[in-house]
Amino acid sequence: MTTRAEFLAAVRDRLREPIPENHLRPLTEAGLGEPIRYAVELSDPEARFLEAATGVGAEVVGRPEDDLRAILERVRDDVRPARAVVTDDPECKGVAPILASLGVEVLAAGGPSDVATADLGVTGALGGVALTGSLVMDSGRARTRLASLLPEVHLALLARDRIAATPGDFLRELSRWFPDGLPSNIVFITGPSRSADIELEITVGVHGPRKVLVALR
Amino acid sequence: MSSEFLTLSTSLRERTAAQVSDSRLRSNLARATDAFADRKAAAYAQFADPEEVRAKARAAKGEVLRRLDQILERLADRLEAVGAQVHWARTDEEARDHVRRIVQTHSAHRIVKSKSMLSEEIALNEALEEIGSEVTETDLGEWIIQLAREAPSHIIVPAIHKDRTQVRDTLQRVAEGDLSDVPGELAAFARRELRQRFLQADLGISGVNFAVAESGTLVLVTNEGNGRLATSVPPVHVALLGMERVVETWEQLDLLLALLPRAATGQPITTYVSAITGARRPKELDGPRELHVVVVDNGRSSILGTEFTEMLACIRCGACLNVCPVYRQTGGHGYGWVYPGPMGAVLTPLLVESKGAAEVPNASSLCGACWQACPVGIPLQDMLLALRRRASEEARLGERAAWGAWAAAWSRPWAYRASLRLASMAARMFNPSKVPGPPQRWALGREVPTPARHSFRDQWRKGSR
Ligand code: SF4
Repeated sequence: MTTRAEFLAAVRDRLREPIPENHLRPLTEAGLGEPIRYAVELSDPEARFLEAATGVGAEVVGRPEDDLRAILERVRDDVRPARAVVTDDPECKGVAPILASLGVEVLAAGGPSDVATADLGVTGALGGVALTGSLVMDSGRARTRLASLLPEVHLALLARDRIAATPGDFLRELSRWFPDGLPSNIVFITGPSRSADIELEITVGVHGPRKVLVALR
Repeated sequence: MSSEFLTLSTSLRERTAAQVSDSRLRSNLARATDAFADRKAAAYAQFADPEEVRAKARAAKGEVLRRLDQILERLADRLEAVGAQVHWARTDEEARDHVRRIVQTHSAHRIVKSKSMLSEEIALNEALEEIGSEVTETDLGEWIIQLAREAPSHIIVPAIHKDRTQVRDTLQRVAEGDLSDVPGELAAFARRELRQRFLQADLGISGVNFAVAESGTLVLVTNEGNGRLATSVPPVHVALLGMERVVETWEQLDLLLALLPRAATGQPITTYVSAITGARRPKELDGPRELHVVVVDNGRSSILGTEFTEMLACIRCGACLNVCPVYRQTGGHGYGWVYPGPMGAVLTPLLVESKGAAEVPNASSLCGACWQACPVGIPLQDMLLALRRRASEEARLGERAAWGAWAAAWSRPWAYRASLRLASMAARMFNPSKVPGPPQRWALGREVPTPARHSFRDQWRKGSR
């Protein structure tokens, strides 16, 4: 079996001489340090987030001024979940007892076969991305990655002051978002699971949630 | 490696249904590739200056390739620091051995896979089935292809050559009741069926779109969510990493992440972008307990340092396929190996040493559309020209004979018919004045062989016996 040293030595060997340049189309030293410039209005991240999220098929079910119970009641009436899984994200504080009082059985996060029996997953979001309407999930804070994945419906609670303008703004500040180091899994979620594998017709919910609901807090 | 090339064509020939209608194939492809083009334009328009982003991405990949040894070393250090186990494979055989050993250690009988071109390249499924494991492809398109026992025809949409009726007929083989041909219902059937397999799986295998060296993070870009499931539900995750799919920093990743989905499907971002850094942490309640990363060379280092080095910047977006007049006519299977279209026409002969592969670069019109579409600015047509030149110099046969050998690589009835069209089209479209710069001088002083239809057919018949 090839060892790391052998593998890397073989790569190094190929790089002893300078790589031949394509003189026709030379590489430019394009100011790599600068973030990507977008031609999209990003001055109001919250408004842009809501527009982009809705544009990819997420549904906004609550605004910061809405009462949590009222939001959950609406979701219950819309989704009619028998069972919900709720994460440990700080935004989810108070969710489990309210759901229980609304007649929804609440599971704690845990093994896949349990979580798979839930029809609603309620999570917080570490942050959002305005340009793309994405939610950022953090497996460290939530202690789970399955609650936003296995149930047919995912409800995410996102604090309005945690919306970065662009993916790059988020990625360039990872150490601020994750002061204790990166968790095992970060996922940017942008709308419901989709596939275009059959005649390029978009179908939702092929593996992940078919509905993504967002409530801003 | 050459034996694989031949095995693939032979088995394709054996497996193929002669009734595949090429007019249907072409209309599927044209519809699909046009739809991509429109969406792509809108997604690129979000950039203040798309050319600037493209130039930066190209420069970033160039920088990474120049220091690839150091960056891989950094990646390996970080991966180990976050508890991943790193395995090194110089060849396809070694890569298969690593995965087989991990599978055997865990007695993993049920394996779920999310889409990985690299796994196709190293023929992993067959190797795992040989040791008695059951491998399920979970990307909807890949699953369809797996059930149909075919090869993918597009790197982003593997079953692009099948229409809904063909998909229904394929899925019907594993369904109990009758299926309709409504895409949404077929997808719902796939969800139910594949969900069970995820929950029962002993091990998940995925590819890696990008690895970030500075933090030891593997980035996976998917729309369906099967990539998330395969890397989150089973207790063991094995990630296959082509050694060139690495960047050093998150800033570099931002560029490639912004370009890949826009170029591939016209999405500003895919539904899921997962960043995996190590296995489950002690306080996390789910996720795999073990993470293995198999770093694969398999011919890539022989490209490094040559005039084809930039081919290693390819992010597998498929944009060059969608705009290629030859691909649009013939579909992906004609290219003979796992990588189709212009990127395949360059990569295949560089990775696969066989006569058939050396002829694949002829399957292009050198119109330059691929280069213009490529989000990382790979000068594909310059490379295609260089490869053609190299092939004909090496063979010392002149290109007229090369066309014959190339024809022998087409193994399907429709590919054969398509290749006839392709050959005459390639000659028609080979307009030397369209090729800019030095290669133009080369091209102008050069005769394009005009394949004669009948002798072409005869040669093909000879070759296929
Ligand atoms: S060569 Fe360029 S356009 Fe083609 S798949 Fe690779 S990155 Fe995409």
